Amino acid sequence: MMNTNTFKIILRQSTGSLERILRLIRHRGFEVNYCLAREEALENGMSVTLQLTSERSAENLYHQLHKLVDVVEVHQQAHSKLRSCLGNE
Amino acid sequence: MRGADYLIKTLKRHQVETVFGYPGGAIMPIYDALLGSGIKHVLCRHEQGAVFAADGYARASARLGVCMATSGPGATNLVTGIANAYMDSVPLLTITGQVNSQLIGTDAFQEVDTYGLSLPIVKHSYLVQRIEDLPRMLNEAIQLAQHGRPGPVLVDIAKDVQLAELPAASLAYSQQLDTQLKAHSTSELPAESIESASLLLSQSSRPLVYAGGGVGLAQSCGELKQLVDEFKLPTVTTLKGIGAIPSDHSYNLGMLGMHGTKTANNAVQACDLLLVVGARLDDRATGNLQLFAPDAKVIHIDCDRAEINKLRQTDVSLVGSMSTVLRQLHQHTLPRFQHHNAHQWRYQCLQDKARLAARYDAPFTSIYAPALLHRLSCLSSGSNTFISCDVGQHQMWVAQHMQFHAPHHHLSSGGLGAMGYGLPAAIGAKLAQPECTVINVSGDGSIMMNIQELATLKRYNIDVKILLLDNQRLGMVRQWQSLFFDKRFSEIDLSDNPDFCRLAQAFEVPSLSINKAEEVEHALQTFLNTKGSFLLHVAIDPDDNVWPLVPPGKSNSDYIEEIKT
Repeated sequence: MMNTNTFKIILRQSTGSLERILRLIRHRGFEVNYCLAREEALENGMSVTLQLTSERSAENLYHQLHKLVDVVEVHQQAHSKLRSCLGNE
Repeated sequence: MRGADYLIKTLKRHQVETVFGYPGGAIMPIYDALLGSGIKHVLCRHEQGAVFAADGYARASARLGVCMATSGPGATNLVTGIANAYMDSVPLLTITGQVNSQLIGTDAFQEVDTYGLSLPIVKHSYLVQRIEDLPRMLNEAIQLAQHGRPGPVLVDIAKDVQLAELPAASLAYSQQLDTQLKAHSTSELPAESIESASLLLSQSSRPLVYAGGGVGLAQSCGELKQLVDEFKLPTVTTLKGIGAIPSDHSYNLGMLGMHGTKTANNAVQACDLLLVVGARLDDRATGNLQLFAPDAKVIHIDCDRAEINKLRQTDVSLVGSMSTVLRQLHQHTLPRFQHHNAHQWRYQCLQDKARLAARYDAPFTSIYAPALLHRLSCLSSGSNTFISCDVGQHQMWVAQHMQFHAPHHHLSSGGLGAMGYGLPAAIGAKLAQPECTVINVSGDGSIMMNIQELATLKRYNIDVKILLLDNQRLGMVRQWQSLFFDKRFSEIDLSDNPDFCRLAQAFEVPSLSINKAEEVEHALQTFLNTKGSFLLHVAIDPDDNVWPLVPPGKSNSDYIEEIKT
């Protein structure tokens, strides 16, 4: 069954950091339906909002994103539930 | 100080003594800084050889492996080795030269997007285009490669950055990552998770430990053995977990999975509790995941949260420092564990192990590779021998028939399965452990993938023994074509192999070739006792296959036993 999830990711902005998360999302079996990336108020930060669809577990993707070095925070929203965590815990 | 000098100085500050590599245009300033630095550089004959050697060095020593190459083809030749280190969580620092920053993106000579190539196969990577960024990026890279779950980190440095003078102010780089990593190291396990795991373990009547490569990486073999000994827990290992519990430990049932022992696979399918320690439930280990360990509750211990529930839903997960988790689990379980609960289970496992043990007494006149490897293991056993494999049938025979007392003595390309790994990895291992015996067990397909590294053996007079099992075929592919493709043998014939002894001779490596069982004992003695490197060429029957075998997509209980093909 296809599920749709919204992820909000705060990145430490560096060369290719956006490319890195998009690559991971593709490789782990998710389609990007929507993507908005913008500079974040925090120094060298970038905020990325993504709406993703897949048959695969969003929880697994959440943890894969979460361990990327440039990821500072991940927030996942699905079925009106919100989970969030600081990156690199 | 130039960027290149800073790089070398930083490697020395991190106690890097040996690096493997191959120079070229875009990395010349770094090779210039290397001269007279005191760091030993091992010039391999192909960048893939260099990265595999750095990997072998890292695995054998539990230290950071370092390799370097130039831009373009130098970097692309590293790709397989970086992916190999990524799949097997090896701490590896890869330095590549890049064209001048102004030329990046102009299709310059020997320019390739190394950073882009690296993205799927590294823990992290950096492209250094400003000298000011070099200190932070380099120091982060060295830390990241070794911290938590280890892995490869790539630093691609533009040539002009290597040549640029480093402003003094840049040395005070941000310590942001240091702080994050320290915070992670001190995170504590929730007490209720340990309590839940302890209850499951103590109440189980058929518990089984499933130990993976993470045990050795975390240097937690002692803690695991204590748990296994105290609670008399039958244990199976993955390919990379071999040695986490000594092969001759009474409760070690052997490797599970596609070419696992019948005892191990039977136990996994019958257990009611699976204690997964530092393993990622790889498909080669689990077989059909839906049918894997059908009656088992699962406790999963790992340092990487992303491995939990990735493939199999766990009942309790314990994420953190493996040694700490194992010690806490031991302490919590000790007061409540009832040995008699699992008495019948233990008895059954040990009976199975004795009944289904491999036999080596068949009266063959040709050489039976499993028997030869078993004998080699008996002759070379002890804490001083490292075995480096390539990939294929011989790799599985090593896993099945040789004995290991520590995981880092078994160097095998587990996740990626990269042919050509064995010889350069053995070179790296020998340089890391010069007092130890290092043996590369290879096949006639694999050895040719990095045969040029015989020149590295010769140049540095490195004492690596090469045991070459030659069936003049790509044996594992042939076995699968035989079993699953109606014996339609496609492109597996290597009967035009070179004369391997003459080839060795060209590199001044002494050799011996045998093809009869009666020659094995004397040949192995010669092999082990000859001072310096040696190649023992062993002709084996192409019809000898690896058994048992769980066909792809099947349950681990549906293994095929020997079929003559």
